[in-house]
Amino acid sequence: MSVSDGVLPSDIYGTKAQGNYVPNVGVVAQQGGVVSNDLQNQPSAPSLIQLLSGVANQSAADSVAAANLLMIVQGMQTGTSLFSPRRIVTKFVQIKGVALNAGTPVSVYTPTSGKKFRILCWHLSASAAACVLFEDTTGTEVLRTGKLPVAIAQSSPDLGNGYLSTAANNQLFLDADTGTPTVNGFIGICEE
Amino acid sequence: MATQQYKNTQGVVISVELVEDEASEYHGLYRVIDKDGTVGHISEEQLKDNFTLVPAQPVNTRG
Repeated sequence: MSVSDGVLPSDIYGTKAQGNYVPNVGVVAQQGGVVSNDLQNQPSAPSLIQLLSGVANQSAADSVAAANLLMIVQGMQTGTSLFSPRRIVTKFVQIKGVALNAGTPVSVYTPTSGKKFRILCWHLSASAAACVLFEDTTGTEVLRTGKLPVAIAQSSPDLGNGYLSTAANNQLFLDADTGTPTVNGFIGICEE
Repeated sequence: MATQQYKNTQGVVISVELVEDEASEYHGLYRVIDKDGTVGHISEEQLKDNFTLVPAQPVNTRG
């Protein structure tokens, strides 16, 4: 733990590290010890702190259990004063030449037993101009693409935390608003 | 609740039944069954937003 004389360390952009006042010691930089370097190889405050037996770890690994993390994860407001941690894609549902026929939904994903799928993004093309419908169980449309042009893939906008399926074990279906397009691409999801 | 038939605007017909078992994690949702078997559960709001009831065929009682 290093003790500052009142000037806390800062990164190359001038952003000061967080400081804590400790009685009989003074103001100490919260990260303490060796400060991690940023992409410009300049000392910078860590962006993620992992608690390991009460010690801050400035080199947290991927896939750290949430129970070991201080809530410094990226959060998003989901409603009045309610926040949720940002989800990331952990599985790509491959859509390889799926033949659609308007009014006949096709199951493209069955979640792991007891889990719900969450749609986070998509990238799709269609062999005939059509909207592709995403359905939370057959026939239950939850979102649709715009009208896809012929054989030109389109990507979703940033969907934030996307759409979480209503119930565990619901299958994800695709359908078309018209015609019989063949669809290719992927759907980015996670399960929870 | 007996199984009922619903249809969406695409012509997709599903059979649904309310899950009344309070011990079930799906209590209060509607079980969706297609020709291949159970494919999921939806809320009453989703049912109303996406489907309309298909009237049962009248039974001919006069032979």
